[in-house]
Amino acid sequence: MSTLAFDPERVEALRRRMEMAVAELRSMRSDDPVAAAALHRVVVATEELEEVWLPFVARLTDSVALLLPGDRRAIGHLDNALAWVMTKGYGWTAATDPLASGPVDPATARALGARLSAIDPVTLSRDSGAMTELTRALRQVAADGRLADDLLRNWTSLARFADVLGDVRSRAMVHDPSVTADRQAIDGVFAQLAQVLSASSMDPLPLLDRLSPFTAASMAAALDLDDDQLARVTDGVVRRAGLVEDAVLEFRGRPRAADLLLPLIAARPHAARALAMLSAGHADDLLAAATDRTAVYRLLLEATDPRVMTVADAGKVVPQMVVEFVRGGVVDDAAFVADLITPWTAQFAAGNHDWPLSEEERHGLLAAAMQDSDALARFVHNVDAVLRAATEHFRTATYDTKVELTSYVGMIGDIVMNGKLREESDKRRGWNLLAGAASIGASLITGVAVGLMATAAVMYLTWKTAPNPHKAAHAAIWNQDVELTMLAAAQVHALDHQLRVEGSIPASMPLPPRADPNRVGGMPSMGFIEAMGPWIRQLPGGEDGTISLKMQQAMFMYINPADSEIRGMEYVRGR
Amino acid sequence: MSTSPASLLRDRARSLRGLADRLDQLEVLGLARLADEDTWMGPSPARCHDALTSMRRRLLDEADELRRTASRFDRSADALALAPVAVA
Repeated sequence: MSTLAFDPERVEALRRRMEMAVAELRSMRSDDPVAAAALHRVVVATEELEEVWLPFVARLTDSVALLLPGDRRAIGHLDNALAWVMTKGYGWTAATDPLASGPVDPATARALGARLSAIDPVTLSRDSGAMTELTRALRQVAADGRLADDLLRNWTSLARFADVLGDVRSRAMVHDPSVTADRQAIDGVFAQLAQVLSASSMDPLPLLDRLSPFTAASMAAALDLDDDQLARVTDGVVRRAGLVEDAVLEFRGRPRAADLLLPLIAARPHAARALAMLSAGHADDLLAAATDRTAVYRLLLEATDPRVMTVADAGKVVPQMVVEFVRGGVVDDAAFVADLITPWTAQFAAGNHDWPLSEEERHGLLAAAMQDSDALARFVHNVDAVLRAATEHFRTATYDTKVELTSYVGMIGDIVMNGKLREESDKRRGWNLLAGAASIGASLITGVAVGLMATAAVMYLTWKTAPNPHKAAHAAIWNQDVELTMLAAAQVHALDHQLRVEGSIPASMPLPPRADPNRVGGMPSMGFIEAMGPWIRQLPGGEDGTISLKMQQAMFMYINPADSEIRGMEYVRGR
Repeated sequence: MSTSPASLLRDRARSLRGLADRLDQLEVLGLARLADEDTWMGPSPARCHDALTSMRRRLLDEADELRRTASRFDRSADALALAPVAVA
């Protein structure tokens, strides 16, 4: 790339004369065959003027010259010192040569930076030739990190330049009649500018923080950012866009900054996860910044999917988002919140300690999330996903899950039985959810079919929902023992039902003992274990038979004599 | 209006000279002078100047060639005028 210097007035005169010359050449006619060669020469001259030299001259007169008039840095590498004299003392203009295709050298890169610092980006954007030239120059600069540094060091108004160009682009997107710029040309400049930034030693993130949201988004979309960087920039854009766009741009129907970045984020699960973590405390900003609310829902759900997000990270994100969205009170959010907690229901149960929340906090969050009947309906619609996630949670737990599983089933029972499910179909789904939750324990015992746990759920619910004057008076330790015992009994009864259907237990065999939540003289769990002994011995195969072992396994998932003894002592001590 | 071969040739010669005269006076011929170093400097301006100069020379060459052809036509017309009229 090289530079040139010119007298603007004389070049303008040259242009006018060229236009006249072209018009005149076009008027040349002759019918005589021997004039064909001369007319061919006329046509060739016309085309050369029209296609090469007139556009070249027009570029210098119409457009912005890409170098600074009279700036020594701009023409510092011009061999001809006269050019400097002419630009300095005679009002000439120096410019990059639109027709030159040589490589950019450091002096040209610095000169370009200096010129771009003084240029009016709006005027530039109207000149497709200059935009093409700039794109070409930036592409060459981007190929060499040192050139990129040379350019950026001299481009003191880069942020302003990018902002103004970004503003033109956003107006072009909505076909603002006052904008004649070509959006693709602007995109080309942004794309190459991003490449320059990437090639340079400059950290692009501070620059993006200084840009207007829309420009930052345009630039970030073109930069090769990693997942965390993209999330950080998006979060910054979202925070600032809320202030700017709501006040001004959206009013004009312009595109939103977040709309440029969210599709990129959505395509990169780990970037989405990072964004969800950054924006957990202000997720409403994310929704406000985007035109398509459902796209944000989708993004957040994918970001908080257990396949992408760890349990610990979800503990930092999901509860905060529940608070945010419930507080927002947007109707559409209710269903989203139900979807959000669907894969994490186990973490809301009282017996779970994955997340650093108190039992009251978890209970409060869940109650808030389910207070809307639409949310509840959506939740029971998600029955399969809820159960799949919960089963996976309990299957992979490395600790004793029985207390947690008990509280989980109780929690699901509370949700389903809170009376807010109005449609019969939703009630049926709610019932399936509860039965499924109750069957999770059975699913963890090898050889026991899942799906036959309606009996267990019925029993459990009967106890949970029946008025029990003793229950309120009992200490927490007593209630826990009751819950564990009821669930153990439910599992045993469900297994008994299954084995009778299969024919493994004869019809003549007595039914399993029932749990007594109001037992006098000891913990209910101990009473149930004691009652199970004689019944197990009657099973086919006796006490050591396969069926007996399965029954004991079902029961011992929740209760066993040692734990019962300990709870009994704690209960007596605490009275 | 005569339509003899000689007069037809003279008409063509006149037309070709007219075309040559127009070529001689074309605006484009003055562009090279306007595109000299008083106007600009640099590689592309130099190329533009060279191109316009070359364009000028070629167009003037074509004008000369048209005139030469016109003269040949005139000479042919004179020869035809002096030749005895053929008898059928």
